[in-house]
Amino acid sequence: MFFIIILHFCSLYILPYPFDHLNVLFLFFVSSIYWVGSGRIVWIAFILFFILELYTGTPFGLLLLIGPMSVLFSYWLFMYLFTNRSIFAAIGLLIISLATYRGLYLLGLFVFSFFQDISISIILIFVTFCWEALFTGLTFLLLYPLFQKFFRNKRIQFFQ
Amino acid sequence: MKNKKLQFILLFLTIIIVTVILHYVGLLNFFENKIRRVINPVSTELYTVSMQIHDKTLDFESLSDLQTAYKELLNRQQDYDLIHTQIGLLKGENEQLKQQLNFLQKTDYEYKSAQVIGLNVEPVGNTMLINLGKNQGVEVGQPVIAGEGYLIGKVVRVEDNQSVLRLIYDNQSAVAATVLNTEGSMGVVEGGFGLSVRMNLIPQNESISVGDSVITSGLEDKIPRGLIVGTIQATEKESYKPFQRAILLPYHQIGNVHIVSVIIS
Repeated sequence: MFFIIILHFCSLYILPYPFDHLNVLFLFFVSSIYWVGSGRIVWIAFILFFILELYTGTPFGLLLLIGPMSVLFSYWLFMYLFTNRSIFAAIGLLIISLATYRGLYLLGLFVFSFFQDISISIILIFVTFCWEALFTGLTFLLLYPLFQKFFRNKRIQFFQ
Repeated sequence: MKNKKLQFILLFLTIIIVTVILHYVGLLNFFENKIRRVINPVSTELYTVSMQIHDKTLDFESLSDLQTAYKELLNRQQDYDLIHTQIGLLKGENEQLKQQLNFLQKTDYEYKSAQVIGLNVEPVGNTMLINLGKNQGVEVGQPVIAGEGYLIGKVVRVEDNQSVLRLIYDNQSAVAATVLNTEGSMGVVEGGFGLSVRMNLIPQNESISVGDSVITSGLEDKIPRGLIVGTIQATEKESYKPFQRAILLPYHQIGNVHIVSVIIS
């Protein structure tokens, strides 16, 4: 888990703009849901967002609430909506997960703005989402053949 | 089946809410500090690497570029020598004026130097992580400066031994400032425009010009007067509006600072 957090930090610190919008966490969550298919990812998301929460400037609790809930929603989508397990379904799942995350982020900021002095920029959040969706989606596409090869035999557990 | 799912969601939400409450009560400090102890050294190293990667000051594409840069530096050196002499004269004058007017010299800020140990971990914001926190006397709202008194941000979150500061060009940043012109025009410096910042709410009838320095006005709690915010790069004035705006250039190395100072009082 620390490795995933460090990878996330690497992408944010080292990659130049706008490549730094690659969301390693959601790449990991959606990949795990898609190839492993276990609901345990929700608990992993809880721990990862707890760690991430220690390093953000947003009020404590915002990411911890919206992050795992977005992952839970993604898992639900994977189980009941994106059921054909194709690459298109995976990309769709990734983009909807990010959209849910950013949508909830916006909602969270709105709620917190009643208690704290927070200004909300819908355009900024939308632009961030677009870059995230683009670069995370592209990275997912690049990694897809690799994961496909690696997890081909390991997916049996889920399909049984 | 449906009941089970609902129960799970409720349980999950309860766990999250309990965790948040435990954080605010301080019962999770032990675990949080343990996590930070593992991640902070890695974050610091990554930040150092990122600064080396993003440092463009030593990138020369050709020998002529290097020569041009060298000539530019020589010219700048001459300018600095001239400015240095002028500053010496002005300093003397200023001291005499201060004594005459019996001004209280408020430049003895109590400050603490901090090391930058990380950057923002959420692409939406522009924040920095520093290695000073509650235990060192840091509080929310305190200003953070770099270089020779340039305001680079304000502390927005404080933990035991580390804090998060919001950079002045973050879209949520707002600082009360004043222009060093004849009228001493007041306004609010706001971020959210890339690497530049804007000073809004400057009365229309006051004259501001490119090159004017902007400093903190001292009207804000915990932020003393006189911290340099930046210099005016352009002005925006429309006759039908009650206020005019100015685009400022803040401290040029905000994203590449290693050591900053938090003004405690």
